[in-house]
Amino acid sequence: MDIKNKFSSKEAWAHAMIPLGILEDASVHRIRLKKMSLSRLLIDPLCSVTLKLQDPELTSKAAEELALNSQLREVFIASRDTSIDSLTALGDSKSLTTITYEGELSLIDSWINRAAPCFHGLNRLSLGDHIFSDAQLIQLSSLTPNLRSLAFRIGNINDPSYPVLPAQSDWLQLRSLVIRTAAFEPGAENFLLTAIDVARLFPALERLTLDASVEFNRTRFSPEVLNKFANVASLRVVRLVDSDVRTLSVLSNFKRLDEFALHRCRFVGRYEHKPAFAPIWATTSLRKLSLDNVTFRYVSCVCADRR
Amino acid sequence: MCPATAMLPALQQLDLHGVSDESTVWRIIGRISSLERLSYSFATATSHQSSKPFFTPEHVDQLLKLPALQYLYLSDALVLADSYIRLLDFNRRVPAHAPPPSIWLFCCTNEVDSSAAFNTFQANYKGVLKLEFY
Repeated sequence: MDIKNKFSSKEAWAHAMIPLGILEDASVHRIRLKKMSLSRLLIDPLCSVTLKLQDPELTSKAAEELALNSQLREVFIASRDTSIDSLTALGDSKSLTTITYEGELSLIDSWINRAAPCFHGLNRLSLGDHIFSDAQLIQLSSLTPNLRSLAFRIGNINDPSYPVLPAQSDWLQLRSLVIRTAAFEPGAENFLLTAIDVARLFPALERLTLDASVEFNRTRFSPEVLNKFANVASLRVVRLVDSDVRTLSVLSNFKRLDEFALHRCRFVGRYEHKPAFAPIWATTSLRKLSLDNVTFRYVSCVCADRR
Repeated sequence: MCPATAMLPALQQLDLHGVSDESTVWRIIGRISSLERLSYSFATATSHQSSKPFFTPEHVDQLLKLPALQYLYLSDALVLADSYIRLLDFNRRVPAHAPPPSIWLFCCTNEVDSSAAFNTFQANYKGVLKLEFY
């Protein structure tokens, strides 16, 4: 079978009927596996592979085979049923740099205690929808100190055991951090660190994303959360997703910002109006600015009442 | 909401998608004299193909204030005949210092009866012009 002709792009969708054992086309760099057993999978070592696992049976034997593929770079896991044994087997890979989870992780204690230690060489880790406690994040950071890029989700408002950031961390090399929230306005209640603490925790951080788009329309980050990163001297890029205009009020504290992106900025509060956007225009260091679905025109309830 | 002088003095790239209150936004664009690349999508989450917003000569006037502009991407707009005529003013830049910007019109359409202006623009614009899904 000519894989290259069957798939017009350099991406292969593999279903149970496709005998991937014959795949020898080095130009195919991404394979998505859907509803099939990976136990039959043989991949040419010339291919680098991204696995999108949906309803998978990633057997530990198949994972061992994959780990031998010297070009394996990324594993995308969309199933919560991937076994711990399979994950630990993948951890033997010498080339794997990125693991991305979609959805919740199951067996979280086993995942941290058995799978995460195998991922100490990872550069990029995205942790899906599981909400980590302070203790779990601290443990995870000690197991993955080489991470350059991390995405995780927080929640559980007003519960200090589910903080915005862990009280301590070994992620000293982290360049990119994405924090997603399902909480209603995570703020001072579960951000116990000072700005100085944060600068000490992430001395190399260059890119920060605060993403409140996870679930409810009412979620957002408070200005205090963003402001805690103002002392991180290396920070150059800030992205806010589903923010509200109040958060912009602290932008002036980021003196070295090169890039700022605002996606779906919402109007929250009765008396907000145009001047709330002034901090953007006053961020004089910016070299790149992206505004996506941002509403500049607000109806002032004060004016409306006067009418 | 902003000072009358130039703003965002270091800004080189501006990407705008689905922003509202166009008049405010275009006034701001005209004050960013360092701007080299502008991407402006007129589309919003609620806009429809049949009711594209206008790309007007006033918009072009703001763009003509940008001496460093090298790349202009416009999408989902209805381009008026007079806008084409005004865009030709970019040809008056001194080539050695600031040649006309490359213009990419993506998913844009012409105003009714503006085909003559469009043809003139196409024939005479000295910068790179790219039309896609036009």
